[in-house]
Amino acid sequence: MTVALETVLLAVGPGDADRIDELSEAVLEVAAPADATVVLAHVFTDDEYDEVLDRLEFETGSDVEPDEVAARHSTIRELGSDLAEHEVEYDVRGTVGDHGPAIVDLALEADADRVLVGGRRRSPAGKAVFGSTAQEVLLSSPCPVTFVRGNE
Amino acid sequence: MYHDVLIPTDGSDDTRRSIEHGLAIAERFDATVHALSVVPEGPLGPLESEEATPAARRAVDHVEFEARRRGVDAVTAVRQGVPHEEILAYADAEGIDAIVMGTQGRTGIDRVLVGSVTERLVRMADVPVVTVRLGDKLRIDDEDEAERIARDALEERGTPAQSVAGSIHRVSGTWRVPFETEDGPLEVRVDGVTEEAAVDSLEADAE
Repeated sequence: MTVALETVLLAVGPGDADRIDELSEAVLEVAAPADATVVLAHVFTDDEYDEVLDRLEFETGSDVEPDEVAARHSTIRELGSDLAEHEVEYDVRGTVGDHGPAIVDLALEADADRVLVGGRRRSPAGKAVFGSTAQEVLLSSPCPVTFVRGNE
Repeated sequence: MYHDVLIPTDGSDDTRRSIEHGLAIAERFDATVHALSVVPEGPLGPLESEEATPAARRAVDHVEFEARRRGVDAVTAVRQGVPHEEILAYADAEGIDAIVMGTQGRTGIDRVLVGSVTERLVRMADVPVVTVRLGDKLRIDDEDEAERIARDALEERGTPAQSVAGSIHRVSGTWRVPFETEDGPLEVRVDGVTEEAAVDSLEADAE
């Protein structure tokens, strides 16, 4: 019984900027040996999106596509460059919405065989928490999910 | 690179897909699979009945059998204690590179909640944790039907069943039906989803 691994969705959000190395290592570990294509996606809530548009000096409400905004994002650019270095094919996507459902929708759309996300956040008290995004993705993903922790 | 992949299992139906994926991952990386089952222990000592330890052993033996069929190296372990603590301790001690597990386990009430062991491992493990949701519903959900399919398989094989030689168990979605045959004791494993049957000769006191 073989299990397919053609498409890997690596979904990042604003909280993943400080664990790019771990995410990069994790996605390469999975995608490179299998010669899989990576869908490299950045998810933004509405507020986060407005913030990024502002930072990247696009006009809020302008006609720029989320895919384009994601491509300009530093986290995506760094991850993309790591993938390119290891000759892993990838496509960049951006989506706007609640993180959990957005990731699940992307996985469905891309027909992903694996989803990779950062799995832990710190609560204000410094406790490692299993947030609503992780829960939503774990319970609704159409394929297995790899949770990657950062070296916090 | 994954050299050692840990597959925790409690033998529940929910582990059928996670074991399949864990083995596929191990196969791809030529890694060793570690099958681990933890007999839960509460603050006053072992919670479960006498059934718990044999059930845990059956759970890990099942993974080993499936690994062998795929040519994947496997080791098995049964521990007693707090499940997530034992799993984390094992992962540390054995240099595990990834953990592959289901999302619900035995106490899964419905699909709205994540099992507590899974949640804790995602939060606390030092290595990537791959979660695999329950797959297809079982098509064979009663013992008699499993026995019938098992008998047919033995007939086809030319070693018809003489008698059922013990209890019929369902482990990780696979029915295990032990028989006495002309060829000695044989066990037929019937996959509860695909209905495929595989025959295993039982070695006396296999460890």
